Amino acid sequence: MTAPRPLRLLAAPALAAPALLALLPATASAHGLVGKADLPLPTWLFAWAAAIVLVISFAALGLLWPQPRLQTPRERRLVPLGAWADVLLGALGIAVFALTVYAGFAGTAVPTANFAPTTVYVVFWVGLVVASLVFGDVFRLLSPWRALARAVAWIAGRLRRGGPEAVPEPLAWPRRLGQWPAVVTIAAFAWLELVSVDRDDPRLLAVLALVYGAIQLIGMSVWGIEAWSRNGDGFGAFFGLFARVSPLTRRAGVLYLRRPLDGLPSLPVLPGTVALLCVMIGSTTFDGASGGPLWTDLEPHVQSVFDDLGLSPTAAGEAAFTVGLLACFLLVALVYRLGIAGMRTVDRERSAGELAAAFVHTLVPIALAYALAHYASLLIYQGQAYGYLLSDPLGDGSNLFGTAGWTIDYTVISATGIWYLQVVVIVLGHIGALVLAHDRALALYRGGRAAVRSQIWMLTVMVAFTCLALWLISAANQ
Amino acid sequence: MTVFAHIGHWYVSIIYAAPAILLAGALAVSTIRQRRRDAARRAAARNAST
Repeated sequence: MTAPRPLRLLAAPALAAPALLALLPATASAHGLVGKADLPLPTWLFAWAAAIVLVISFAALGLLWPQPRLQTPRERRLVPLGAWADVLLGALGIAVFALTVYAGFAGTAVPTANFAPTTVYVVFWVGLVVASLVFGDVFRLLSPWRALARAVAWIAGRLRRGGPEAVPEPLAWPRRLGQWPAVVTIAAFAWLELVSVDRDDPRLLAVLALVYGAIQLIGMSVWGIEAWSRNGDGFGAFFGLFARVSPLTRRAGVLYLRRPLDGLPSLPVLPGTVALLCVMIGSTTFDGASGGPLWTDLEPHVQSVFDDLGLSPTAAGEAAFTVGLLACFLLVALVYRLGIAGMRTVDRERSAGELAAAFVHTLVPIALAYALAHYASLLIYQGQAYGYLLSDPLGDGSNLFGTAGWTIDYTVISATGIWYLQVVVIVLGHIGALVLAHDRALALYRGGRAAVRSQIWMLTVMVAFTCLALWLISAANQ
Repeated sequence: MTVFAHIGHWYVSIIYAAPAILLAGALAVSTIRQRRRDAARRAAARNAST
């Protein structure tokens, strides 16, 4: 069997790569290629190796995966997981939320000694990504806002003596609004985490948590608990996307086992879904890039523009970082759109919007790989701080569970180990994306050759995202 | 601009993008050649019909 012509074309750059490499001179930053991690190879070689792995995976998919296999999910019933799970995990979510807000207001202003910042940035923002990947949509059960709203609805139903049906019907979720509230939420959270100079202020975090919680309760009362949780609650949408990668899913009080990635082809694509994924990947991109040499050189010049406009140095710095963050959102959207535009050279029947929606689920494993790779060290190291913070949440010297003396063990994994973990996660995430894109193309084009031709553009997008991810983590590693 | 004066600090980063650039370049060349072939085929078909 002869490989399709475009596949043969791809072999040329792969073979030409080492030759191009030899032409590059040594640079001023060559010493930085081996940073904190003690690696036997320059970090860019990992990016090249990852790209070659993707190209080989792509060729293997073209040859060995001739029929769509993932378009219909296959699930196996595991165990009943009834309402008690909602009650138990909902109560846990409310307790952690209440403790976070209380610690934010009443605790020390030292961020590392206060329960609130570690809970928000490590356990919530990163830990729940891992939990969603392993256990499915746990945030749906843990969400303090959803749990509180469900408890209120249950009590209201009992008081009216007509059951839950006695509560007025919520409004239908406006389709035009789609997931745009989630886009705004995740972009705003990314701004807080990456741009705001007050990001670690426990009091500010407590105020924002309360404001966000109030918005959630209002939204749920107007549009219904489930519709708002899926679309209006940015974090519900965020963790819900990652949960679709998980081999576990819960439906109608029953836990099901499925193949990993099986939940993604059936992802409902609403207005804002593509933007949400671009914001998710873009925010991680900026987090990595803002620690690298390119942004370090560029940022003072962007800031000087805002200095000249009369902003204070702090405000000008935040404005410059805001520009950088927005640029990363746009960069990710542009790379994806270029891939879609390329696909249109093969498929003129579908509009760019239709193709963007058809393949957007392939961005989920990429967003997951970016998040895991980027925040792996934060979770592994700073996550240990929860041991002493649970005993001393306010940082006032108390020792509730006898663990206040615990410290962070930085030898639990070496920097080199973290690096290899990041590389594996990035490569696996992008291979997952390739598999999803190939399977969707087979379903759309009903022909292996057309599917492969269309997906060469998506392969380029995946390789671009892989190289970008490895560049970002290498910048942080220097 | 100073940013270009400091280019030595960050231009090595471009090496990371090389696989994607090579792939995109190969695809662009392939697409252009494919379009030329299609155009030539259409022209030949027109000539044959007249």
